[in-house]
Amino acid sequence: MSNTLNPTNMITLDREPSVWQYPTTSDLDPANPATQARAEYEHSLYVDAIAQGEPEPVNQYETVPAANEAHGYATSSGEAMDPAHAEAVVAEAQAVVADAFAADPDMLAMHRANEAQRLSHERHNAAVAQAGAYGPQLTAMRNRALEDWGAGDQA
Amino acid sequence: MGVFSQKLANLITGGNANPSVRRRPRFTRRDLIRMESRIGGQLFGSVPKGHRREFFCLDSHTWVWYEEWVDQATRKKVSTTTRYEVHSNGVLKVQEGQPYKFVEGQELTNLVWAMHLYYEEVARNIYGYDPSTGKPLPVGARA
Repeated sequence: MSNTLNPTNMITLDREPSVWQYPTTSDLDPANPATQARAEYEHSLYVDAIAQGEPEPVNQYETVPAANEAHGYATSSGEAMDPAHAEAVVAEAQAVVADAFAADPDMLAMHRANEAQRLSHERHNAAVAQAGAYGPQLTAMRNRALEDWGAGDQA
Repeated sequence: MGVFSQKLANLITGGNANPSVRRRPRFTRRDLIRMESRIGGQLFGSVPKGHRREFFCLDSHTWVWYEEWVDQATRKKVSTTTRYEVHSNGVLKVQEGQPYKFVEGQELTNLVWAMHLYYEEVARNIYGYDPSTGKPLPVGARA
């Protein structure tokens, strides 16, 4: 089975396919008068809502990086998390994991085995990458030497 | 150096004896690999008496280990060649009469370490490059 994502895989099951339609290219075209009219209408709704005292919507995708930069942590809604509170959350999570491992030694052993395997794979990949770096550098030096003081590429 | 002695030196060496204009000997790719393999053969410790060992980088993704010795029982020359092919997912070990296999664990660590030493020695002592920067070494610092 292919892992390739395609739009049909991404349609949620609670939608009626006949209802759900993808925007067409012309719908997204800024030069399309209908698109312009819709954008203007949506913008007017937004401006009216703000004018009536509605809070401005939080753009999570802009807020989270800013919060992360400032504090290192952010809540899922994008608000910056107090560092002390964040540390407490992490400590609690670690305690939960430790309790789970204590209750199930097999799970701990499996976790350790997985971790060892992961580290082993990382070491292996690093070694292979390193091995792959020397050959091209050496052949480049050799080729330069042949150009500078070689007698051509005779074997 | 007098004119006579310079001409004599030219006759002996077959070239211009003035170091500033003397040309380097002309090498083939095989010559260079042979020089490299002399260094490579010494990276794995002392070579047993009667053995000949070569280890060299053949091309950008292939390394070769060649070992030759005389079998004491038959008095015949025996040799074994191991080729290491560097692929993106591992280093494949190819030996005559043996199934191909990826090098793993300590063997891979040792091999990469040997490649590293080889690169350092060859870059510095044969081609005159600083192995850490890849830039040419000053003339006085070359072997």
